[in-house]
Amino acid sequence: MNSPFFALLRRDIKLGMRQSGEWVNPLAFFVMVITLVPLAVSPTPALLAQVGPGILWIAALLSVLLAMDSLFRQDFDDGSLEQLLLIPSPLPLLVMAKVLAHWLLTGLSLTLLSPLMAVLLNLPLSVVPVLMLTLLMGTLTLSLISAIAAALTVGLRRGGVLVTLISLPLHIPVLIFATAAVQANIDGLPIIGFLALLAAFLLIALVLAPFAAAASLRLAIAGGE
Amino acid sequence: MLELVQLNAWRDDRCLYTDLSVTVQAGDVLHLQGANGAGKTTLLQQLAGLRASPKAGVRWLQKPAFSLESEYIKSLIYIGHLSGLKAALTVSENLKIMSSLRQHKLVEAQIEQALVNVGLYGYDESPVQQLSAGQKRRVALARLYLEPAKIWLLDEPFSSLDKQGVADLEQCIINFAAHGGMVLLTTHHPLSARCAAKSLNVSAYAHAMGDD
Repeated sequence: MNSPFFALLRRDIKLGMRQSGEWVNPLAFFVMVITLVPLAVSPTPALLAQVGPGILWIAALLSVLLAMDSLFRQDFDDGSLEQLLLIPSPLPLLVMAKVLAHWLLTGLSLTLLSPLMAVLLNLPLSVVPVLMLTLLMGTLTLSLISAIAAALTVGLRRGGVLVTLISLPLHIPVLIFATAAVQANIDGLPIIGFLALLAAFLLIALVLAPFAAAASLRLAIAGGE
Repeated sequence: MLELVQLNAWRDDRCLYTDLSVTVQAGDVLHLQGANGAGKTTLLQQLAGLRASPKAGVRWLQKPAFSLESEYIKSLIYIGHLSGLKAALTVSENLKIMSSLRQHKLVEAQIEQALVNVGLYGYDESPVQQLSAGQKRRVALARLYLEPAKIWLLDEPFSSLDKQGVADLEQCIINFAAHGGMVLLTTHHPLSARCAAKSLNVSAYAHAMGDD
């Protein structure tokens, strides 16, 4: 549909591949937290199966947060953010392209890695599809929400902690319903309600977050320097 | 024709300029002058739409420049203090991506020609992070040869360029103006007489208003 959208998407994926630390670090963090839990808590299969979904989701949430700080930072520092504002194309659409590129490298790769992590935590294999579905919807929602915080703090030298503080309260509902869905699935209860809520969060974030982030970016550029 | 109508800008409580009205005709080179902090960059940012300006403060072809139907944004190239280049990408990747974001299609030969013009022939596959400050500036300026535009907003375009680079850029500006382009630039470097630049002293509009 819109070619600046795809041009930006391609550019950010290419950049991400060249600077692999940007997205490999959060992924390594995710894997490390999950491998350390059985060592630190207890390797008892029954206990792990019980706390597993929660641990997995907490690790996923934190690693998304870890990755988000850098979303607009580089573009702001090298001046390409200014140039993005001068593209004759709606800014929310460009923000969407950036978030999507970022999510493909972080959220999606985290989702693809999750079956392996589920095995490490001794979760039943039958729960893997549901787990992946919640991660797929949930991480994209988290990325979109954190994009607002990342845009708000892009003009600050050390915005890292602020991104977390601003977006964490908005991440909690996603965490609650995602882990509840996985737990309900393990217990053999219906999960459609939880999934519907997660999907609703995602839709709201998809519609509203790009506009909020775009407005914050304009503020950051006007006030910066 | 680009009209600036009663533009004003404030930084905190300090008035940078107020009631600044100028008309720029096709073929004009306007040299914005003023001391450090006088608001030259702010003015260029207002003209680029990066910073809010009074409603209808900038008019392009008799219409408000930042309205939806205006072609204004498509017709301008803004090159700021920062190069806007991606350090991890090569020179030609950077130029291609910038053009495709602005929906211009480039062919390999055009990029090669532009790099010859800015004196960087043979650097197209070099990553930008390996270039010197002056070379990065030249890559940023290569856009002037590549993208069609009617207005150039150049903030300190001569910084870190060597003598030959300065002369080349001046020639480029002269050619652009001769073909009906408009150039607004800031620089502390004395422009040669060939540019026939008009000057605008931003500091002259810094009247204190009211009590402040």
